[in-house]
Amino acid sequence: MALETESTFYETISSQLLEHNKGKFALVVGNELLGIFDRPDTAYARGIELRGNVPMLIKPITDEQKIESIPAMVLGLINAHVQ
Amino acid sequence: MPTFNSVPFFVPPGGMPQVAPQTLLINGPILQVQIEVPTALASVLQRDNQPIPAPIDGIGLIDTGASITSIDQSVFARLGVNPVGIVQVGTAGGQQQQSTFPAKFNFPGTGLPTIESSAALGCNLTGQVVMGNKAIIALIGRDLLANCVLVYNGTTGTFSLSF
Repeated sequence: MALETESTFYETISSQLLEHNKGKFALVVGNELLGIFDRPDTAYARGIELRGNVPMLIKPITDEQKIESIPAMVLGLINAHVQ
Repeated sequence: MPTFNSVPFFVPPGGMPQVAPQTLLINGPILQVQIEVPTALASVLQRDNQPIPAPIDGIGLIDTGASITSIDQSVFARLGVNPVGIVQVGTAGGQQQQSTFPAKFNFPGTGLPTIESSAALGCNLTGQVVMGNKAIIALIGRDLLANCVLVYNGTTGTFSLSF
């Protein structure tokens, strides 16, 4: 699974981030928090600049868990599927 | 506000073009899309004198039922774009974690402006074709449509998209 290290690391710091940075975006590469940003595109640009074209986790700092929905795939309305 | 009006035509053998309302019914609201590396990545590649992968052309299907825009995983692989996030996706078998990627959309021949998505879902659209052999490479979901005005006229078989 991609970004497993980053996700695990984020879980260890998420409660701290929620205290003061709710609504912003955390940029994590490996086991390192590279910054907090107002926008995801700004986080991506900074991540690319600092670490190059590598997998990175840009995580909305929120206590809500959003579940995406794509009925066309789930219901087989088209012959496509998530990986 | 730039607007793309889709008015499908059918040309019978030896005849004049005719409006074909059933095309929208059969294919859904589709338009030409071109996916390229995000601007931030292109800038870094250029700075480092590395080649910028050529954009990938295909068909985008507007899917108002989808909360998030999806792009065929192979597009990201060909562009060399790495994942930037994980989202939970509801599936028939329960929730599933999927990777998201940044993407830049062009809409050739439509007059619509370029837009960038910070988190498009990677999915498998292999084998999805319309109009015989044109590959669908993206399902345009409500996250991108949040920036648009979409008018779907099933009676005339036309739709328009503005943003």
